[in-house]
Amino acid sequence: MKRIFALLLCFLMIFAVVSCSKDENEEENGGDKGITTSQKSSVSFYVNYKSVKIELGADAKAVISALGTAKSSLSMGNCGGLGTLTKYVYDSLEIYVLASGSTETVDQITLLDDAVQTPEKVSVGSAKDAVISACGNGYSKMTDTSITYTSGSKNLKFTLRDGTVTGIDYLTVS
Amino acid sequence: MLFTSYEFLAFLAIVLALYYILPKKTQWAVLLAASYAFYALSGIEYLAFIAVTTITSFAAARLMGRVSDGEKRYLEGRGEELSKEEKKAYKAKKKKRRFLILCLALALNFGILAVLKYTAFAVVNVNSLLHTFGAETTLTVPSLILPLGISFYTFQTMGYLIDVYWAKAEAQKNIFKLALFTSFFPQLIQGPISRFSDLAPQLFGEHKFERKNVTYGLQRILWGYFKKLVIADRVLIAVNAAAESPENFGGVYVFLLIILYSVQIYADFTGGIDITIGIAEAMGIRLAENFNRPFSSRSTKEYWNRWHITMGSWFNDYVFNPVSVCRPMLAISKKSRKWFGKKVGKRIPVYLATVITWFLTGLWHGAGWNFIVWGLLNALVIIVSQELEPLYSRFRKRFPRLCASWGYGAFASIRTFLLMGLIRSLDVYRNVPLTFKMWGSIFTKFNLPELLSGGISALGLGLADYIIIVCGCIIMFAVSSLGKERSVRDRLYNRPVLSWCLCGALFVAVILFGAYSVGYDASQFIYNQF
Amino acid sequence: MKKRILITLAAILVICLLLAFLQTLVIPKYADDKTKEGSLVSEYYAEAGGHDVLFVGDCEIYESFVPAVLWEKYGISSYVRGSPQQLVWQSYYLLEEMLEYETPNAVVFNVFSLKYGEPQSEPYNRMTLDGMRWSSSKIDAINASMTDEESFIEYVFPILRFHSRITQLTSQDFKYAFGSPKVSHSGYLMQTGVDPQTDFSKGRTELDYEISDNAWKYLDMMRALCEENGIELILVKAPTNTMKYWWHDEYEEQISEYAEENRLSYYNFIPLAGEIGIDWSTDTYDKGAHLNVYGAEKLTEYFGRILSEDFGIEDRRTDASLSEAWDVRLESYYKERNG
Repeated sequence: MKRIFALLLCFLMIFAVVSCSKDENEEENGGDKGITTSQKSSVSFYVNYKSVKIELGADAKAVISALGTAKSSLSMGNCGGLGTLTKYVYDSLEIYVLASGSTETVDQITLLDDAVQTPEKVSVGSAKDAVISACGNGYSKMTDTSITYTSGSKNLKFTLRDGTVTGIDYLTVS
Repeated sequence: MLFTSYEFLAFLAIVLALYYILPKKTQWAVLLAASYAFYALSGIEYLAFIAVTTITSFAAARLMGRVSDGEKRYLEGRGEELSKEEKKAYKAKKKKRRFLILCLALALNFGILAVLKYTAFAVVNVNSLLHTFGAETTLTVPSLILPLGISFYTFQTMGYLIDVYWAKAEAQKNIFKLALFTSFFPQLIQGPISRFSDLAPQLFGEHKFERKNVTYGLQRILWGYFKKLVIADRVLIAVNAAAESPENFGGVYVFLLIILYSVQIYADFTGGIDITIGIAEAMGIRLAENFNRPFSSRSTKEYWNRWHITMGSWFNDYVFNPVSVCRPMLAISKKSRKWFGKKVGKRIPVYLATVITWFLTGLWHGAGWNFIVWGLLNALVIIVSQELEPLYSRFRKRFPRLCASWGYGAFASIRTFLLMGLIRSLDVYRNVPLTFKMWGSIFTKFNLPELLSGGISALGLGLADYIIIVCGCIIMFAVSSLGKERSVRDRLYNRPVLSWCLCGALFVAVILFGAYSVGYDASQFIYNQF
Repeated sequence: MKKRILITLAAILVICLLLAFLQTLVIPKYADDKTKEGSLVSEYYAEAGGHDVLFVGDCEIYESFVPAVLWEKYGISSYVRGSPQQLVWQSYYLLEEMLEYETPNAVVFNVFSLKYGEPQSEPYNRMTLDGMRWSSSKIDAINASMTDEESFIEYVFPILRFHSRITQLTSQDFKYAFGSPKVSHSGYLMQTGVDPQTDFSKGRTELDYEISDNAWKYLDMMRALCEENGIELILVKAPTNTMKYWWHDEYEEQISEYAEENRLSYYNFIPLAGEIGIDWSTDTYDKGAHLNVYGAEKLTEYFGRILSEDFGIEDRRTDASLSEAWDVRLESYYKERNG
């Protein structure tokens, strides 16, 4: 009798250790939507330009019509008839729109000069240190020529030259 | 492993083949190996949990059994020497010991379930409570794994323990056989929740290859896949579209959503259960039915006798009844009779037990306020119907012909269908205030013209899809109606050509119209997360 | 008992036949202008064997090199085995398969696809792989190409993937149920339209310019395969360069280095466009993303001279049976070209 109680207690202890150690690594499986442990991303994947919010993956029709006619645009079909990519050029930025079927999404945003800032207040011409202090240390890749922040398929890439930002791109990569 | 995956079909074929090829006395071992393999393939880290439940339950049941045996032997040996009071005291002592063992095991296993499933929910609520009172601290919400089917296998196994305590079942002497009862793979994901005395003899018995069982089983599995893939997964697309952007789909869309979600969960859940029961049947094992034409129910009470039957009866036998007659409840019963008079007083304990049972039922469905509110609303409807019963019976006495008419029956069924569907929409929006807001918009937002002039296509389904859904519902209804008098499979059994034509057509329909593969979002059975 | 077994077998047979028929209906026919590129890979088998040069690669290669011109001007018999977004491992396995049918003197590979190291897109996979006949090369190609949402069994039974098309069938699905019309000329996909390139600005920034290990692995395997079979591997980059098809300097550096280290010939035609005589106002049909037939002919004539003079690939116009076969192909080629 006592032996079995002892065994039960042992299992309880082992079990507690096992489940506690799983805390950090395991993801909630089949969790309810109401309790989401949302991931904190250090950057946002949109810019505000001429009071229009341009967000990666958003519906492009609304964005383009809000921005009005572009300085120029270039449309190119994908091979095999799988969608069309259109580049819209505005004063300080370029937007690439991917049209597939009836949906059009913002696929890439390129900031051309310091007239547009990211929500973290970084722009072309900012220093590398300013990027890291504004966007945090959670970058997915850092080299001499770029710093990239990733969240799922959304990416924010700062192109660097001699420690200064020369290009800012929001890219979608599946 | 999802039921609706190619891997599962291959797995099933192999298991069934081995089951009948290998010697009959090893059949239960084949099932045990298959069940653990199935569990491991779904996530090897989960095995520890189901093993712990099995081991602790085995130990607890054996211990209780040993106490009972000891008690019996003692009383047989020393029976004449003892007085009645001494005997009573001894029995009470032994019962207390068994109760203690039971409680320890229940606490441990329900504890595991509670910790894994509800800690995050608890912490989130504590955090919001703290913030309401202006506190700065925020506890980190832990991210714990949730083993596959933990709610189902825990309840099934704890039912076994309680049955052993009540001497309704004998403690299983072979730990591996108990392991099979706990982990039997067809019912791991979404039930039905079986009773040990029903399932054990079949599970551990020997089963000869019977053409009828295998045929019936395979037919039922096919029928389940039809409902799941052709109807449920297709309707799910529209349900998700409406649920994900509620701001665009208010008013009449909510009403449509209620109907679509009812169809979706019916086809999904009963389809999954058909696959489960069909697999068992093909092995010569009869599992309990979980559904019995639920949408023909004319009242909420009847509905809960026809929908998720094994869950309802589990809560009834192991929660409602014990709670109703437990000592604290009897005390409350006495007190409320004293304070409120006999008439009101005798209802209070029943209603209290009802509320507790439904609170726990809601909580079992998920760690969220929406599930709790869902449970409590069901309790409310049941209590209110009970209170209005005298009014109903007077109505029935006054209009006997009307109440017996087909029209009134249809009205009652539709009313129940819509009421249950309304409450069930708490599961779709997953957010209580939002759900109530959406209910309100049914009456305040008049967007029927928008829906009719093409708005419906925003839900992601085309005309062809709706035709398939409607045809699917007609087929489901036809099969259900035909099956009332005599089951469809019985009717087909001695008509092989007709049987093959229909089953062949059904199979082709599943392949051709199933909402699976690239282009359709993968979806798990709704009850998978429990 | 026997009757039951017979009925069972008959029923299973009928169901299989029905499913097979439905499968032919629902698989994409790739017969319209937009999607005809899906037919390219399967057209090889009708002409398999006896080529001097085989081209492999993505859309840049099958719209840049014209076997008809190589034969007509240089007597070089060639085939272009390409498909939309044909990834490097797909090119490798297609080449491996073609070497079961023949051993050419040279293989020409367009390097643009090296920028992709991971499976990319299910529809493009289908356009490349469904046209292959079943072989160990096809099995390997499928396994190397599948995205997370794909399953091998769906390549064995395409009805499992394409059944959703049952509600979207067109007349083409019935017309071409047992074979799609021929769209290429020895693998070259002719484009006769003209849409000038006017935007010469630098193309869009990409996330990562480093060619992945997986891509290098397959290029190495291709090089080894050619070496084993005594075949000259020639790397090329088509002269087109715009927007999302921009050939970044970083890629150019890596390829040049690889070619040098491995003593492979590499021709980047972008800076040579002028010398080749390409006029971006007349020689492209999609604003510079790909050459049309006029541009492709110019490029092929230029490259043919390299093949003939620098690589010594013989003129085989004296071969009577080969000449006869090519006469037929030339006739068909000019019929489409001249409209």
